[in-house]
Amino acid sequence: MADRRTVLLDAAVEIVGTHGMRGLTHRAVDASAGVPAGSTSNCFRTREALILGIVERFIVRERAMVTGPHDGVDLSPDGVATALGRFVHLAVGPDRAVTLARYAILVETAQNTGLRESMAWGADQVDTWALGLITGAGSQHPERDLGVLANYVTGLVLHELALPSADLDARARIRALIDTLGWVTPQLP
Amino acid sequence: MGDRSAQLLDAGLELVATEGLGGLTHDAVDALAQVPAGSTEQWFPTREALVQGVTQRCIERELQMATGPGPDIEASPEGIAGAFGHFVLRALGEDRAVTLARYALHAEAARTPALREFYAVGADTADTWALDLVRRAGAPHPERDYGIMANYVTGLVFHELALPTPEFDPADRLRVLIDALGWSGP
Repeated sequence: MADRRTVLLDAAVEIVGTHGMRGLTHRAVDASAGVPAGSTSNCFRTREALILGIVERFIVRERAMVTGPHDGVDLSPDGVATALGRFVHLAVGPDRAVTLARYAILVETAQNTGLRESMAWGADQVDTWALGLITGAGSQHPERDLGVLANYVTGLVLHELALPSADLDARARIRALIDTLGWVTPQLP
Repeated sequence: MGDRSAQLLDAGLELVATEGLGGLTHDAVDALAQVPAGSTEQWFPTREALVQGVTQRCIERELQMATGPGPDIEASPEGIAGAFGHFVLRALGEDRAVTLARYALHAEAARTPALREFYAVGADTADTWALDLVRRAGAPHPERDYGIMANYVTGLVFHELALPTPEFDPADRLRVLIDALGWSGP
């Protein structure tokens, strides 16, 4: 069962994804989450606190989009391609609001440098986790490959949102990219 | 495109970049472009026409950013890394407004299929130009590699915009990617 804080933050993500940052107010979150007026203010005193909460929530939700329902990624090139392919399909489909909200917040960060600290913290969390993952899956240059994969996936999602391909096979595209990076498949014990 | 309408649309683009699509109104464009009230409405009678105009202008300017260095781009790994790197620097620097406006318009296109047609045409023009360059530079799988590079560049600009890397050298990053893709050179 999701706790109150998570319910509020998911409502906030939905609002930012649908109406942009302008739509994000404490009252709008109360209304959308169906909680008594003032609840969001109680939990997140300022607009900054609310945005920081959303950034934290992204980390959890985006990670869940990668790992899927079983909370795991097979440590192999195929496993990583499957996980990132799933992420892309969710990001342009059922979890579209998360994606649109993420863009809105990144744009806000570009304009309001005060947000950079929490965004950088969030990015570090994700990077540390992802580096471990691709190293385990056989990357010989984890830093380089994470940069390549992360930018590629972000670009793919951005293009597919605006210009959807008729039958996108994100898993196959990511697998093709991983093949060019020369991963060495780890030996199973 | 006429000078006056380009001037109005550039102002519209600035508004979208700084305030989002919600900030794009005929009056706001008149004010920012410092033209008499009502001018923007004469050129773009409806809000839909104005949004489409700004979208087209955005695509036009992106194409200028990409082909900026012109026919002098050398069809080699080094030449392409330099040209794409140049695009990234412009997208983060002097043409930052185009980049920010593009994200707002992309999000709008995700919700409004009619806008997608503009992007489809703009994307075709840029893709044809870049794909030819990639092919001549000796990419073993030009379509695959260009797809990878185009998405990579988009993601790179997006991340750097929000979280800039100190002493960022995009041409160097592109070169690393091209090397990973195994180009031999012409």
